[in-house]
Amino acid sequence: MADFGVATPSVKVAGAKPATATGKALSVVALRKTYGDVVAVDEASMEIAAGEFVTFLGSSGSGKTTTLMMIAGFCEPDSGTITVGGRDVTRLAPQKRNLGFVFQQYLLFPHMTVQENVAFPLTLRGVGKDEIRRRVGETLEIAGLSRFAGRKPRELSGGQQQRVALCRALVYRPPVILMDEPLGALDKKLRDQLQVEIKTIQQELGLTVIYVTHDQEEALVMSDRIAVMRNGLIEQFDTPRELFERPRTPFVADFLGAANFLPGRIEQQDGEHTLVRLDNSGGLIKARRHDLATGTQVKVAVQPGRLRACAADDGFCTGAVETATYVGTLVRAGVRIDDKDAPLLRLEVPAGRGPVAGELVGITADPDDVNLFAAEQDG
Amino acid sequence: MAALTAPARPRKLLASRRTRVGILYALPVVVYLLVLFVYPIFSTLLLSLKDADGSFTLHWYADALSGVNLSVLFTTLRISAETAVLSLVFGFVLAQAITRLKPILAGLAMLVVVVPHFVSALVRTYGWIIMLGDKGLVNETLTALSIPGAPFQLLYNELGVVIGTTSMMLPYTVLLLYGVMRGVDRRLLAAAASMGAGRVTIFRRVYLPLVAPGLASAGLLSFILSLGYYITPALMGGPNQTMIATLINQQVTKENQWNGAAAQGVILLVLTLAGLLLVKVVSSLGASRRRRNGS
Amino acid sequence: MKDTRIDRRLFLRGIGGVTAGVAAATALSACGTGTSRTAGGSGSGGKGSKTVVVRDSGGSYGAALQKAIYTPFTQETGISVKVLNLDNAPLLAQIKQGRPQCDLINDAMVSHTKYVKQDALEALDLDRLGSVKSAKIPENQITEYAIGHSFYGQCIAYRTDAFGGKKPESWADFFDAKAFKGGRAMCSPDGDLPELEFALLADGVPMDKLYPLDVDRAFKVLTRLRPDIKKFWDSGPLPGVLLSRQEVTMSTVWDGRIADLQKQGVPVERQLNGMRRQFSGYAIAKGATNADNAYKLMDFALRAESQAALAKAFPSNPSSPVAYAKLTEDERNALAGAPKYYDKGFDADVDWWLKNEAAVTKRWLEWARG
Repeated sequence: MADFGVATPSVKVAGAKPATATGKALSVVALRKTYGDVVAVDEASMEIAAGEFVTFLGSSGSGKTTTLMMIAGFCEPDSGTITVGGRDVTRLAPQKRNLGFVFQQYLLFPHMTVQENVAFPLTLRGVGKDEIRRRVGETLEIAGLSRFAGRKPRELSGGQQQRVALCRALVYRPPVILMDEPLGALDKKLRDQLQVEIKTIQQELGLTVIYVTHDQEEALVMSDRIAVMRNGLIEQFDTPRELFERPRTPFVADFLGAANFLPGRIEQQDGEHTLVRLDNSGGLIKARRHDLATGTQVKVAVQPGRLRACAADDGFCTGAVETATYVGTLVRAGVRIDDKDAPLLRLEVPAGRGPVAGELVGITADPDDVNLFAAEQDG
Repeated sequence: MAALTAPARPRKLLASRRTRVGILYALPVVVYLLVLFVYPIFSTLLLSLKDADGSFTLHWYADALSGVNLSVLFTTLRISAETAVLSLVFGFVLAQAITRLKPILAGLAMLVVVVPHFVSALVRTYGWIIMLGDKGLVNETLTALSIPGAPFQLLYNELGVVIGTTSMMLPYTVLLLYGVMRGVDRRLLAAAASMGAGRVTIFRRVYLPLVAPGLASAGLLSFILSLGYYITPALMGGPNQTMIATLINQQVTKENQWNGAAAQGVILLVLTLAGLLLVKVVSSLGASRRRRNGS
Repeated sequence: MKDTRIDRRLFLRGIGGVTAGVAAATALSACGTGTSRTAGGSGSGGKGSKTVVVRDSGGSYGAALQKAIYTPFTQETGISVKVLNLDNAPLLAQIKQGRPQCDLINDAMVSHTKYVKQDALEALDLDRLGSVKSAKIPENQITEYAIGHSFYGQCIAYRTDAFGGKKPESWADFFDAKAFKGGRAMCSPDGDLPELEFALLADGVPMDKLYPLDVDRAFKVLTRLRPDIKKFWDSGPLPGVLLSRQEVTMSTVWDGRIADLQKQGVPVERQLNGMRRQFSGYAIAKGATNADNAYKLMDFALRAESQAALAKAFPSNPSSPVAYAKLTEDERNALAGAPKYYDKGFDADVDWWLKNEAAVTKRWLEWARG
């Protein structure tokens, strides 16, 4: 109980300097959880620094929520350790871990007002009445909820309820706040708005947040680092930029960048570049240097947004534009470059300069945007 | 003016037509209630105010509220209150246990709670005597353990009656509380735990307030049901546990004295309504107090 | 909207048709049985009906009646018997409204006397009840409105293993908790008339000087035993349960209940000294739909053979002395009504109780609540 957040100074209000990120807030070592024969989480390990916003990204069944629940203490790992602020909490009950948790379903106490809900964790910590009133007031102020203090949760909208839940999770300044798809139940516009709000509050207060979502865009917008999870494994744990531009597995390239995959063989390598002969079109594409031997069968991965249309026969391949869809600032085009059965090559080009259906175009890409994966690498 | 009223007309017509249709639909229910509810109550009320020669009198009430009748009335209230409290406590524990059981086991447990209801009063009495009698299971066990004072008198007194009525009320309280408890979002308790609340705190500050409405209605229900009970008190108690329903029954079936019975029936009804009102007042007081604290 | 309305009307018509059809079928079948059987029926009250509705108190007594009386009656006459178990008050209410559900009432003579006061019974035409004479039913059981068919006795039942071989001989022993240790059970007003007579007998009042009862004296004696009375029973089987579970060593009991206990192996015995007898009888409800059939069933049930048959099926004590002659000696001596026991008991005074029951009941409650 000694290291509960009671002693920490009051919540910093807008304009205050972000808390400096010092040291590890949380570390997870070789965490494993199985349900019968199914491995839900397989040897997950990571270190999270204080003040960091980390997202577990994956589709359902990827193990992201199970990992979060093990950190929260709602589910016990088969093996591995969880350390919060240097304290091993692996086998502790949830209430002894001093973490904050924001649930997808808000889970505000229906019989308490907003004020009482937010005050609840403070009363548990024996904070004095005046202090509670002050800190709850400040926290509600940050979330723009001051005028709703006396209302019951059911009198609030979904977005407001989730803001209250957020206040309740951060009012006692836990060293780490866990959020389980907190915006999952909200509509798109509100979600975008709250993404920004949560991020702002996190930065201003220097909160350490672990966030779970299946929404790539949300993960990219909010996170300092993202752990992409699949089948209980962490595929890659990196900054959004790294994940996007340097995916380490075909899955990550596909999941985050929705990349086009083209089979080919490494024909030639020099100090900076690798040249790949594409299997189907026979064209030659230049990629940045990879540590793969000449002659290796590879998958070439390029995101639709990193491909450019050029004059026919100027690029690494040529094809007819079969579809061209105008989506606001972009045109999404599908180009037939191979035989009929292969998927269309997907392009996203700025509207205005976009190709039109039926046009014959060449395709090029900056070698830096071209990723290569050994063909046997799965995904 | 004409221009103003003209457009309003069809709407009014529509409204009145809709009202008429509504009345038509409501009519069967209204008639049903009038015939089976309002009329009997009013005729009972009239009966209780009529003397043998048909003149107005209050002496049936004076009679019902004096002497042994009054003391029976107090006994009825006391036993009902004791039953309500005990069936709440045991019902809570049982319902709580049942919500944690697997569905099949929960169904089985529910069956065990409900079955005594379908057993004839005599068989039930016999069962209770086997359990609680001087030579019953409980007393034999206590005597075998040489507990001082054993055998205890567990039947034919207030303890016996309250044991009996409580067991009869348990199905109601358990079913009601079980429903309410199933309705409580377990994740709320997890949420409280995630903020650092221990089991006792979660129970006291989250769980209990959430099931409180169920507790109030279960307690009230068993209180009200107990008010009209007389078979179990007669079987398991003595004359000191005579309930008002016994007197009503005696007057009607033995003495053919409907007026006095009607007066006692009306008193029972008033008590029931008073009980309802009390719970309503208490709960709204509680709500307003919480609102005050909140703001 | 129009379509749905038509549909609904069609639907209703369909339902109506079905209902009408069912009703018609029922009516037809009713007619069928009616015509086929009215051949010998005189049927003044019941439009030639071949049924009669009788009120009895049900339970094992009702089952015995069905076996010993109703079924043979139907076999003999073709009149079917319907049974109704109804309390006095609702029955009385029905009769007063002129629509009694039952024709023949089998009830305690006390109740019949109450019905008479409410003008709820038909005056009996003894000429139509030939078996009253043939069964030699005693004079005092023949009234203008009801005829006693049997009685039950209220007596002492005790555990034979409780008093070290001693046998309670009288009510004085019943009230002597020092000589005969253990709890007692007596009946509450819910079960039967308060047992003031027994207290008076215990206090030395001779059996033929009981009425009018000295209520004060009776309660004084009852008070002496009050601490030892563990339970006031309110239903017939309860004394047996209490005795077999050793909750009490002695209880008042309806005599018919003891044989069953003994059959179950419970060591109980009855003491018929000072037994209180209460008669049950038949009467015909005022305005009975099937009055003719009611007469027939009543006549049938009062026959000595019928009374004897019932006594074999259920330990009730026939009012007809002739009936006892039709039993074997063992059967006869098992009954508390056997002629040789007759002097041991007394008849409850119906008139006295009618006048005083309400007051005594109230006083009893005050006394019992202490």
